[in-house]
Amino acid sequence: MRITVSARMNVLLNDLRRLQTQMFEDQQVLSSGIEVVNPSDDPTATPRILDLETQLGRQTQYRRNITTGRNRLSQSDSELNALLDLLNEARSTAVEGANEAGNDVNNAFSADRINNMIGETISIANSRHAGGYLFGGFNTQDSPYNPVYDEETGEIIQVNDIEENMDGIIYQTIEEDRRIPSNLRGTEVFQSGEPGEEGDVFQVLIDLRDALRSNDQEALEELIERIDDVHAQVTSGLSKVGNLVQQYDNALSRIIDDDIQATDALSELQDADMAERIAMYQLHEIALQNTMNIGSSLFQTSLLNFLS
Amino acid sequence: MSSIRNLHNGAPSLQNLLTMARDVLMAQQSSMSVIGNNVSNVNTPGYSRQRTAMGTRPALDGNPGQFGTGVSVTEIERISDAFIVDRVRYEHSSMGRWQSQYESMMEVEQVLGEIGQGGISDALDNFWLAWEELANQPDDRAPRLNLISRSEQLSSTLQGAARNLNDMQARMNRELRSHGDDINRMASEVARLNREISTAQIRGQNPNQLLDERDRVLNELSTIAGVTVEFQDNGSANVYIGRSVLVMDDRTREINWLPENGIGKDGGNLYWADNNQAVEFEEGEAFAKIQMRDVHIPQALADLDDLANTIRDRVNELHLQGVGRDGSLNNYFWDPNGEGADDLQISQHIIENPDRIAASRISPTGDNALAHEIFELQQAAVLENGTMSFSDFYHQTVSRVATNVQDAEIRMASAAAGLEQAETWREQVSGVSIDEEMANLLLVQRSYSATSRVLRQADEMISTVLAMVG
Repeated sequence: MRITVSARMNVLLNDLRRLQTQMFEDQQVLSSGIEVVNPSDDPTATPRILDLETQLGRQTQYRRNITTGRNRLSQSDSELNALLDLLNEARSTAVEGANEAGNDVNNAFSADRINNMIGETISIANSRHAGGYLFGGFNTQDSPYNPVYDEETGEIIQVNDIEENMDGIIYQTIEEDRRIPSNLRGTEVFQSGEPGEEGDVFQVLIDLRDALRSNDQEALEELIERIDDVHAQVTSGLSKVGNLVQQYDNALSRIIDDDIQATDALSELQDADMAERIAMYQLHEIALQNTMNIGSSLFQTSLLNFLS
Repeated sequence: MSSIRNLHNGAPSLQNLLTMARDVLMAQQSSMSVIGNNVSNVNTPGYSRQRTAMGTRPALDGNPGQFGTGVSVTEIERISDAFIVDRVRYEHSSMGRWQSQYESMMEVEQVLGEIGQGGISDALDNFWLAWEELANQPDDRAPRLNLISRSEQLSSTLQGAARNLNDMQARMNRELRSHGDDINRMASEVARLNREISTAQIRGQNPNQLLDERDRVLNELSTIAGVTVEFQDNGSANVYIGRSVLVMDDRTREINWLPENGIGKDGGNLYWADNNQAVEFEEGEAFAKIQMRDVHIPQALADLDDLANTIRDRVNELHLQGVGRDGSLNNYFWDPNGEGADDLQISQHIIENPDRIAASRISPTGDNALAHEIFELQQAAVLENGTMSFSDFYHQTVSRVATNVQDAEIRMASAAAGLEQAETWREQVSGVSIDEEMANLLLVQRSYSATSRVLRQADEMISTVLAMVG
């Protein structure tokens, strides 16, 4: 076989080029920690990597949704607990009023307390979270419950809701293909029927105030039952909130698990095996040094050196 | 009979000896000249080493037998193997095609810019997530502004990609046109060399340098146009692109660039000037560029257009059914007059007042139903006749381009290895070996010195004879 200087030079240059390219690729992988830098590095893994990146993006959004929904429900829970406290107090007042029939002074005093309670209940019903009303359904920007005042006494005689869109349920997506409510509607706890009719918490308190003021024992006894009814209505709403919060918490824990799995899968597909890469880099470096050594001595030996 | 006439008493004369020595010296000088030429071209690309072929001169009849008359140069031989040269040329055409295709496909891959941040996939994800963020806070202004910003990011990313792909297509057209000029120039060069080579051969000369030059031009031509070559008895090389003749003896067929619409800016194709048939490339850079321009780039562009049009139509279709935060109805989110990826624009109406973005189906406030529905479009099977979601569709596009890049890379590596191998074979046969030339030089030098000695002895013998006369 005839081996010429050019042939040896070409082989040397090709080897050097190949090794330099491999070392460049090693360097890119080592500095980024990622094996699949361009889609063409692994066309089969690429769609899966992109899918996982999309999935992780959606899961991050679901976490935000869960936080928003859960916070809204947590505040609803606090507000409804405060309402239950008020109703418990109202019931005690009604029982006391019924027992102390004829004690006008005490009942008048209690009526004033209940009158205040009506205002507090309206405040609870109009409570806000992150700038939006909690119990107004889709009416997040206008106060959902508005009192009607007696022109003479200035006391609240009825509470009307805003009517429109009070039934709106605000849903949050908490995981793939799953949306659950993030609000409890006022129509479920404060006024389950028309204003002034059965299931109206405000009206029960208004009637209680008036019964105490008029010292109407029969009405007070009837009101104890009505308070129990609305108490059950609020408790039912509270339990609904608790159930929803539980669903949010469960979804969050599933998303955390999904995140771990997706991140693991992404890492498996994309991340470099650093130990293996470093070993490969060292192998390529040794090969490059050897090639350079050979190259430097390759052209020293020639018949020219021995001709005078 | 003339040789017998030259003999004197059956042995060659002293003059014969002088003439023989002179001719031998000249032959050795020729050898030395060839060696010198080889050594000086040791690094010349495409140079084929030459060898002085020597033959003994006709003997003279004499007594007791024939006397030799020395040596002469029969020809300056070019060492080349037609099969290997053909192989090198083929590998050049293959390398030209796959290197060009690899580089261009890489560019398409870079345009789509996937994996990590900043690509179309990322912009798409961010766009859909911005709708869900709006669903999260339908009454706030911030998520509306965020949605506009993400939508602008998506439209500018798609526009940028479409513009880059269109620019690439236009560049392919310009390069193809320039290839047409290169092919015409090189075809003329081959025709001229054919003429000079056949003329030299008729004169009994070996046109070694011209043959090397023609091989070099044919390799270059093959890189661009993937030509096939047939050699004729008169030394001419007939060159074909596909099945069409490009060069026949010393005649060429001209290639013209004719503008055409519908294949990008500066669009056109190469045609044979004499019959207006399209030039059908089968290999080489020109073939790769036509493939890129007519298949791969339009496919990527069509995918982007499909994606942009479906986003525009589907989002608008839902958005029209919703209510803006300001209570407005029937608003387009994307400008419905746009077409394709390079014209996906947010409706001016929305930019002027972000409260016109409809997150709701019923109530201007609180209601986030429509934003949820638009977010869910991301995973809905709305492309490819209802079989693929936006993500699936785009990820498939990226994967297809990536597979094409990898395929071109593998084929380019294979062509490079083939070319390297063929060049090594060629080098083994035709390359200049300094050691070999030095060894030959020593032989020629020795022969030259020895012949000089013979010449001097003959001269002394003649002097002796002349002295006897004197």
